[in-house]
Amino acid sequence: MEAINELRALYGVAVKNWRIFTSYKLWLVSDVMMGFFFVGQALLIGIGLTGERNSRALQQITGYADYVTFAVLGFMVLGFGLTFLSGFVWSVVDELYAGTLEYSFAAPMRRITFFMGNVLTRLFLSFLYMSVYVPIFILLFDVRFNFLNFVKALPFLLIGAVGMIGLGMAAAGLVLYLKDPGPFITILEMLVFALSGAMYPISILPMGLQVLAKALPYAPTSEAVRKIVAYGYTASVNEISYLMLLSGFYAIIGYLSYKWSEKQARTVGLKSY
Amino acid sequence: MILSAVVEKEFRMFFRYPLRVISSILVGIVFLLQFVFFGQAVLGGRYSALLEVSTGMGDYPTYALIGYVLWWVSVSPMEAYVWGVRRELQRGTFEMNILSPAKIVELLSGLAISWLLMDSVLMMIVFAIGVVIFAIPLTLLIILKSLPIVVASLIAFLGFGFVFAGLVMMLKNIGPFAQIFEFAMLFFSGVFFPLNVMPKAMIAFSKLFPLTHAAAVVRGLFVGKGYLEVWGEVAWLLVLIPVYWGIGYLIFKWAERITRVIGYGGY
Amino acid sequence: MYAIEVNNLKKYYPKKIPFPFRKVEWIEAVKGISFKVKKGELFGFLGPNGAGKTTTIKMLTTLLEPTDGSARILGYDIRENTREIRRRINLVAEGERTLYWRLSGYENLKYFARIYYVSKEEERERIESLLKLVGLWEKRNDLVMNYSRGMKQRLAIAKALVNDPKVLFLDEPTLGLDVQSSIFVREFVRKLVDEQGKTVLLTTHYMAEAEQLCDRIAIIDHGKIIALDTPDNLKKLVMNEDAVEIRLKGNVPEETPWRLAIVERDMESNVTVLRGPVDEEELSKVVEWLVRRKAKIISVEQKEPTLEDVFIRLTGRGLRD
Repeated sequence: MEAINELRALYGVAVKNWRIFTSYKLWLVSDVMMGFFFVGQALLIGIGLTGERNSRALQQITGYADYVTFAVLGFMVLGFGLTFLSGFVWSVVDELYAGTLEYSFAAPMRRITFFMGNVLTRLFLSFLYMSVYVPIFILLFDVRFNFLNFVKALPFLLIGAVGMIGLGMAAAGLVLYLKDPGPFITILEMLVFALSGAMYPISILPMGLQVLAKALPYAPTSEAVRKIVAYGYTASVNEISYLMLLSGFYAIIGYLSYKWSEKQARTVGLKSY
Repeated sequence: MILSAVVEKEFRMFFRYPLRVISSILVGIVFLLQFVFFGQAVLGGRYSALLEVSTGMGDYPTYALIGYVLWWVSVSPMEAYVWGVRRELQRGTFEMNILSPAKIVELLSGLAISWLLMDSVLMMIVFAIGVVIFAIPLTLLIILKSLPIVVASLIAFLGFGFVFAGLVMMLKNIGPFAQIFEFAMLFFSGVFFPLNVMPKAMIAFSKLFPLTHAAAVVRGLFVGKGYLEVWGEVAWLLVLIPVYWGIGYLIFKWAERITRVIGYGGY
Repeated sequence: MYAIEVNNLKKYYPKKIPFPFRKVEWIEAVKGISFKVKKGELFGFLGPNGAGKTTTIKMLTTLLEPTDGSARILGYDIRENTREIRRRINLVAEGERTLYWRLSGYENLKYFARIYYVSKEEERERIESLLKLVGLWEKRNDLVMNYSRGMKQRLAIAKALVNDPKVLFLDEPTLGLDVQSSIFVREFVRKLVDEQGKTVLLTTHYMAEAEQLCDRIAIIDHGKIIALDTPDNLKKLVMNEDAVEIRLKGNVPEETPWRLAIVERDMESNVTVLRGPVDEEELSKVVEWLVRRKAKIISVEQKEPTLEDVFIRLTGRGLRD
């Protein structure tokens, strides 16, 4: 009975989030446009600089000659990742600003249900975006990849997502207690953005940043996904096992920080704006 | 006097929060890095012979940095109107400004100039960091030579953004449109790639944007050309200044009349 | 010359933006009002929400163009001489968001002083005296976002005095304030008129406020002035009638009998207050009527007539109905 109640609460949170999202129709459109903007930009930069649709230089570093496919896969992982970081954190912070967060937290529902309801909507939205992007990218930009391998890569996108959710929860737990969370989140987003390896292989970054990129769950996810799409499972064992290890680590961090913030909320209370 | 009051107010509100300033600079840098690193990864280096043939500048990081910094500043007045005015409309401070004997045009352009200056400060920092990261060769002479055209560009950008000033007083929710438009500018004006990869009609269309010409002139100066050699682009830019100021002013006058009938930002 | 002279002023709002060639419907917010306010008078606009009070104030402060009719402020036409008017008037608008929250109290006044062309020599002194006058001098360097609601309103009033206006407009100046702050604002406004000779036009939907504060009151409803006089004269309209207040708990009949109107409704305790002119003979009939409709009467009281009764008599409704 208790489990059913919790599930109903989860569903309630998810539906509420969905309603709020879809009420900003223009923002949804402008969100979807961002995908075309990124990939279109990649295509035109490539053609403008090399005059060709394939790049030998990129192939040497990453195995991908087709730079557009490379960017598409990276962008999808990034979109996925930002969903769990910025989307997630912002929705919590927005509720904090609006003053509704306390109501949600005051409900008997477990707090993790509230976070998971958020995650659920985001996940659904991400897959929705992807189902719009993939066919259109294939048509519009002539993106070519082994579809079977792409499907095979999806479970690892989800495993990467576990790590991203963990990081997102840690961030959400933390920002609730900052004085001015907005810019802090932006800074975090930008770090993720720069180190996600979406648009370029992280091996061209300076050493320090490479290490940092490896330590966050985003670049390892894009690398694993890209490698599986290009070469299948067996060739990607190293990437896969590293990703699983990392995701597990962030899941624990996320859980612990959620516990901490739960305790913190009861001792110091939430701030009002 | 009005101008300095508005600028001081906006500067205080922005620079009071150092973390906000830092996060803005970081956004500026990361966005730039994405595309420059991507270009370099595809090229396998920084020099593109193709780019040199089509634009006269072969060094990709320099090409992108100039276009990008100018792009950011160019959309700044537009953002000031779309977000700055909208914020004041929502909060109710807008009417308190209108109520004063100062002219609305003065107040609004004060706002746009403030944002343009703030973004210029941010972009100077981003530019400096870009110069260091990408090891861009730069001399004081080039900077001094570029200054006049940069100032002219800023005036043109102000006029271009002014078109939005009137619109936002009536339609306070044009934010997402403006955002789409801002990103479209990256395409229209060849910020990260040479324009010749675009269809002919698009290249012709791109002439309408002050940013296209501003970037072309500055890039020309950076590879050592003189003003005489890029005179065509300079002329375009100078012609566009009165055109956009004129169009913007007409739209604004019309919107001002309408808003006194329907109230500010009600729709 | 009058401070404010209003002649058959009308305001219709279009339902959509009237782009060229677009047909739009119009909503009638103010349907032709006329009145005059003398210099040094404290004039009140009393009426329920949506009666057209704010629209009238926005027209008189040149923020909105009237659809028809005319008005003069200190002899200047509100259509033609907007800048002359703006130099000489100021407004405390409704709500607490009319100042910059990310600036301090001092910085707010400094900004507004400048856009009101206050000279550099006067600026410092004026701001200091205003901040001291409203009791915010100690807090002048705090950001407005950290001010309480009452402090924000006091700063809004200081802002409205920054150009030393001859005519001051206040839109619902005590709405949402705590009791203490409300008292401060009322006394302060009264003093502005009595000691500095300013002309004040304020809107309110609190009867007591209008009654206590104003020299004359215009009662406005559905965009029209339905009565205009001094509070005492207005009350004479209902002098010979007995005002009765009946408190009900729970259900209230859909129609109210005689000229009773709902004047208060407390959701929490579920108590509704009916009020109206009911004489002794009628009273027992009224009570009987209510009982028959299963209304639970808690109390019946005889009251001194107030402006509320004037409003009920003129409109058949309560002010907050």
